[in-house]
Parts: sequence; structure tokens; C-alpha cells
Amino acid sequence: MARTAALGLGLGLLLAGCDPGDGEPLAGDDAGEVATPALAGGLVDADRGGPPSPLDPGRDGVVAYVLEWSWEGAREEEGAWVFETDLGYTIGIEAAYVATAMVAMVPCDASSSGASREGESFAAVDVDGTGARVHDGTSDSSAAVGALVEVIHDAPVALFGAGLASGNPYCGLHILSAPLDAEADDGAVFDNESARFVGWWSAPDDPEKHVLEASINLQRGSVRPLDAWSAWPEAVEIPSFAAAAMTITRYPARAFDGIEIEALSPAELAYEALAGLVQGARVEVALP
Amino acid sequence: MRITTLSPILTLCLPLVVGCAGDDAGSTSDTDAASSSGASTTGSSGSTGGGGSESSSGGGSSGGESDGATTGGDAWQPAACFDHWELMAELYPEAGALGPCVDVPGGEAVVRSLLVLDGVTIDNNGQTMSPCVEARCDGDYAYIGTNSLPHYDFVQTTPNALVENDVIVRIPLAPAAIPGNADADPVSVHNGCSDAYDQYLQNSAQATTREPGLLCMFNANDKAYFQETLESGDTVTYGKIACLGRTGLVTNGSPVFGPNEATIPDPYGSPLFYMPDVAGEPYLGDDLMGGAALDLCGGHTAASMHYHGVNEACFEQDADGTPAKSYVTASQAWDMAAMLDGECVAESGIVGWSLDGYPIKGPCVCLSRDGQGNCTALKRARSSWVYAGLGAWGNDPQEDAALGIEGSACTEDVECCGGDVNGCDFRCSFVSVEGGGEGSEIAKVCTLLDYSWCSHDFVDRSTNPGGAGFVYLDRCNGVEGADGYAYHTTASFPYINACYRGEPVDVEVMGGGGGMDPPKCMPGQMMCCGDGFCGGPETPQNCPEDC
Repeated sequence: MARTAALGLGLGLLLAGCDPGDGEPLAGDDAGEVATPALAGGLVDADRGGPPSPLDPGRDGVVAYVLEWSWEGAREEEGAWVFETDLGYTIGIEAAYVATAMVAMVPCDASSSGASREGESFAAVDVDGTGARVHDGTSDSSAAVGALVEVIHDAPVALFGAGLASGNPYCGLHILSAPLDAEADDGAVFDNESARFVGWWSAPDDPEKHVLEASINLQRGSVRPLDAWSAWPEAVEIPSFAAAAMTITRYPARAFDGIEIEALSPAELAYEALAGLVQGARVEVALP
Repeated sequence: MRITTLSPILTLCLPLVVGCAGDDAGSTSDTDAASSSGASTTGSSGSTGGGGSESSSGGGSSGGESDGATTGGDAWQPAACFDHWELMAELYPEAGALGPCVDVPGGEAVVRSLLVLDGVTIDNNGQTMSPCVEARCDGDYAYIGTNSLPHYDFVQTTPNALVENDVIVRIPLAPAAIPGNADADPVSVHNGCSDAYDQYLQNSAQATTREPGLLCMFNANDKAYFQETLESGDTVTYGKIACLGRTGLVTNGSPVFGPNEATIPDPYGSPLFYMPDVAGEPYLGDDLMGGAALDLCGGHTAASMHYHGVNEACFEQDADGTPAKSYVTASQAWDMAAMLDGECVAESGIVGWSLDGYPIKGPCVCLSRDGQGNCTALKRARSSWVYAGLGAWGNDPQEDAALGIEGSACTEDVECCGGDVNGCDFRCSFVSVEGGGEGSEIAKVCTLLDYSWCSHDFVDRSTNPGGAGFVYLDRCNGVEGADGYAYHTTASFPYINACYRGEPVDVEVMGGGGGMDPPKCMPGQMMCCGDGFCGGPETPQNCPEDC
């Protein structure tokens, strides 16, 4: 069925119904730059360990997704990003790429995903417990779909795309990689790959460098909590009528943590590192 | 930090809901990543689950690869991981005393088929989890306790988190075909699809978001049957499976679901039409928006992990019953063409169980054995359902504009979509189609993403057992093999099973509650007529009182 988008561009910030209620200050350094708590609603406050409270950009509010990289924990040496993993390996990344295919907000209550604004009831359909609410949350209007190969070693900032808020509160973000045929900004060609890492590695207490050439053709994704507020992204141009911007920062210097490199095949190594990228991401929220 | 903006996605493509994929978002490739990475292309290498089948294994463990061995060796010990057997009293108060299944007729096949997951851990977005599946039996049923987790690191293709879902599913130990039932529907109830056809031609975006075929049940615990007299002269009665919900379980304990998704994005569409042809082929454009993408073992998450299809390689076992292959390795066997038409070199074992007690096996069927138990007739299972398209339900002059592309030969999705796959209702998919010298043939054609049941047609093969390399399955996707009746997984509709040959047990109600999601109006649809139903061509013209 053809998907049609009923989108009004005169989008106001419809932020009712998400007052965190406790009057506590928002997390993050830039809380002062965003809407007041009463308007903006709460977020999952990972720093405080508090309970999640929803973000509600309003129905049909445009949610923009910004993809960033942080080489925090790495240093630049001879054309490579060099870092140590938690297991003591030293890794030098000379080139790395990841293909991203979808970013979507995750409703706090998966059963409300896609619900109409009228809140009308549906004829009850009883299915078994494990199948109940069978595909809730598998689709949300906030999803942005693309085909982006990011040049990790250049640490780009990219506007991935945008979706429309459903009118239901959101508590998380889903990011999904996928194998793609595409060309990266630096000219590297992705041929049915979802991630590629090139460089070298050395084992703990052993200075010998081994070639690192790892690639995988599988998807990997994760749901990330909304960690904190941030300033409105300035590195990319986001339409002024966007109701919210989500900045997803990936940390490649942490992506190899927990991996015993010599125990894995190149494909498995790339798969695990890809997992580390998507699962270690941090999501910050900004309102104009 | 160097600031780079990537041109294909720099500009918001508003008002597109699906964001700003570049032109290459919908590109496809014929590159066979599976073959380049040494994948099996037979789809039948496995030592999938016990149950008496004997075949060699590709080997390995869940955390890495190792040499395999025949399933069911001395190293095997039954799993003992489930901690919620006390729920038996609540769920199945009539059950007899439970004991080891190996001591019960019919029970050994069940317990030997299940993956032994004791001590196996998986990664769930950084969280370590322990999948569990364990069986105990009384004289009539195998009770399978499981937390419904996959046996491999979670591959999250939908926004739904992976959560444990503790359930006890029971499987009849002595399944039997459903006897003739006077209350059974004729298969002609299927013609609800004609209405969907009419609606689609009127306005594809307003056509019903329900399942119109009526060959599956919305209430999983309602019993309903249909009956048909085959060309062979036999009159058979089948049970309807649930449209949404458990129809069985795979050998890691996760539920098996039917051959359709729910209402969004493509109402009751085929989950497999969203999938790549081979491992490593891109998932395309807004396929991912729908969240219908499966992992390359055939599963994805909603309220629980569940499987719409099966990559047999994922369920292969080592001698001790533990998973033989990591996801990375097993996933490379995802090859639709090979899974549909490849030569079988080893018979498939059990990959799951249907709620009626019949086993679900992989796609390679042993039809006869010699005196030593060796298989003497090994063939690939082929579904008797063929892709006919929604267009088969009418002859409206407007059909060409809306559905004319259906069934056309293709090599890439873009050929079915006028150049832009995003927002397109069609995909270029491997399916079984009517034609060819042996009844059906495997072809790659333009398929409609909507209405999986309506777009496939069951062809009675009761007088045509199949071709040189394949055997036709019955309406439910099963066949009487050398070891009795079993369903067989196929890479074309219905993928696992389309109905029950035997009487299914009630599904458990626990671990998530009942109920169904509220209405899911597609963008652009609106609720009219006060009927609580947002699908269908309800307009101010035909529903003036509400609109």
C-alpha cells in the first residue's frame, strides 16, 4: 500500500502532556538553551539514573536526526586513530566506514505506536501472550530511512534525515545499520557491506602490529535511551520548523572493547565492532 | 573535528515521512556475498535438531566455529534451565506428573530436537542474557519452558527491544490429522480478497488494512477449520492458524508466527518480500521503515522475538545439542534462490514444532529409507502455494494501472517501481509461480507487498507429487515423509506453515498480557463511519455522517 504522508508544514510545537512534573532541572549542560521543562517534557536521564519520562514533539512535529562521531579516547598518530581497548589491545584505525539505514524514535509505550490521534479503539483481537501486540513498535512515523556510508575516520557530522512524531511520547531511539552498495564521501565504495575497518592492531604487552582488515555484510542495530539535552546542532542545517533534533554520537574508540581480536575471524571482528558502534551510541536531544 | 555533510542526505526531503534517502537508497546488487564468503548454497547442510534425523553438521559453537558432528551423540544432555515450572499449576492444571521426555513415547523426538542452551549467553545491546529452552513431558504432551530468546547475539532490526518472555508451550506427543468436521468452511471464504482488490484499485492508500482472506484467525484460540476435496479424491480438513500470534516454536524456544506481518507498513504483507535475496544484499529503502525486516535467521522482535521464516543453518546443532554456528556464519546461508531451488545434499532435521504436535523440519525431505535407515529419496520441499498476485481477484479495466506490474519478470526492485522503490508497493522477489513443465517454477517477479494471503494461491498437487528434485507440500506446507508427517520450511509462502494438519493446542496466555494494539491508520487515512476501523475506502462521500 502506498505510504502517503499527511504532513502540515506549519508545524507548531505541540508539547502538551509531557510535563515531567517534579520541577527538577533538566540534565545536560545546555538545558538553558532549550524549551522550559514544562514545555519540553522530560527525558531519560541517564546521568541521574532517574526514571524515564517522555519526550513529545507533538503530532507531526518534525524530528531531525544528526549523526556524529567522537574519537574521544583516541589520539592521531601517523595517519591513524590510535587507542587502547579495555582488554589492553592497541588499535590503529586508518580507515573505517559504517552504513546506516534507519533511525527512528521509540515510543515509550510500544502499544501506542502508530495510534491515531483520535485515540479510537480497535476491535479487540486476542492473541497469545507472546504474540500480543504483535508488531507494536515495528513501525513509527518518526522513522527516517536512508543509505548513508559514513567515513568514520573523518568524523563527519551528517543530517541523516527526519521523521514525523506520532503524537505519542518517546523514550528512546533506534539506529540500524544495514549492508549497502554506496559510495562514501572519500570515494570508498561499499559493496554490500555494513561496516569496514582498516588499520592495525597489537596484542596486550606485544608491540607487534598485525594488519586489521575487517568487513561485515550484516545489519546491526540497537535502541538507545535519550541521554541528555544538548544545544541545537549547528554543524548541519536543520529546517527552522523542526520540532526536535536528535544527535546520535558514536564512539569508535570504545567499539572494540570486550573483543579478543585474535579469537575472531575478520567478519566476526567487524560484526562485533559494528555492534559496539551502534550499541555504544549516545543520544542527545535539542529543541529549538 | 572535521565537519562533513553528506550530500545525498543533506537536505530534508520534507514532506517525506521516510526521510531523505539518496538516489542510491534503493539500489540493489546482484553480488552474491554469500558465495563469496564461502556460504553453503544448498540450505541443507545441517544437523538441525534431533528427532531421529541423521545428518552431518557444519560445525561450530555459538561463540565460534568448530568441527561438527552428528546430532544426538553421547555428549548430549537435556537442558535444565527453566525456572518457572511452578506455572504449570496455573496454566495446565490438568497436566499429569512431568518427567524426562526421553522416557515418554514421542517425547524424545521433542527434547532431542531442542537446542541445548544451558550456559549459552547472548549479547543484547551490551546486556548479557541467557536463552533457555527445556522440555518436560507427561503422557500426552511435551511442555516446553522457554524465555523466548534467540540463541545468538541479538540482531535488532526493529525498534522493539529484546525481552525475555517466559512461557510454557505444550505440544501434543501423538499428533493426528483432524477428522472431517461438519463446521468447516469451504476454502472459497478466501474470496474476501475480491473486496481488497476492488479497494486497492479505487485507492491503494485507502484499501483495507485488515487481512481479508479469512484463511487465518484473528483470535489465536478460536478454533476454525476449512475443508476441501482434493483432485486425489480425498476430503481433508485443516485448522486455521492465527493471523497474528504463535503457531509453534522453533528449537530455541522462540515463537513461530504466520506468513504475514500486521497492518503497517504494508497490510498483512509477506515478511519475506522485505528480505534481501542473499546475505549482504542491501535491505532497501523504506522496507526498514516498516520494521518488518527479519534477521537472517528469519526472526525479529515485537512483544517477543518470533520467526516468520527459517534459515536452517541457524538452527544446526553440535553433538551436544548446542548451536553449531554463530550468527555471522549461519547468516551467510541466507540465499533465497538456493533455499527455493538448490539441490539437497542432506536431509533436514527438526527446526521447530507446530502447536498441533507435528514437527517443523528444514527444506530437505527424506521420502524413503532403506533397511539401514539411510535416506534413499531426498528432495527439496516446494510449497504448493504460488504467487498469483492481488490482480488474480478481478478483471477490472483499471487493474493494469494499479497492479499491472504484478508477476512481471524482474531482476531488481527498481524495475517494479517505475524507478523509485521508496513508497512503492512492489518488490522484485523470488517466488514460486505457476508454469513450467513440473507445475510450478521458481522465478523472480514483481510482487505486491500487501496481503500475503490474497496474493498467493494454493494449487492442488495431490495428484502431482513433484519433480525430479523437489516434492510438493500440502496446503499446510507439510508432507508425509519417511518418518511421518512434518511441515517443512520453504523460502516461499507460507514459509513455515499455513494451517494445521492436526488439532492445535490452545496457546498459553502469560508473559505479556492480551489485547491488541489500537488502530493503526496509515498516514492519510482517517477514521470514518464510527466503526473503529481505519482501513478501507471510507470517505466523506460514503460516510458523510462521520467524516
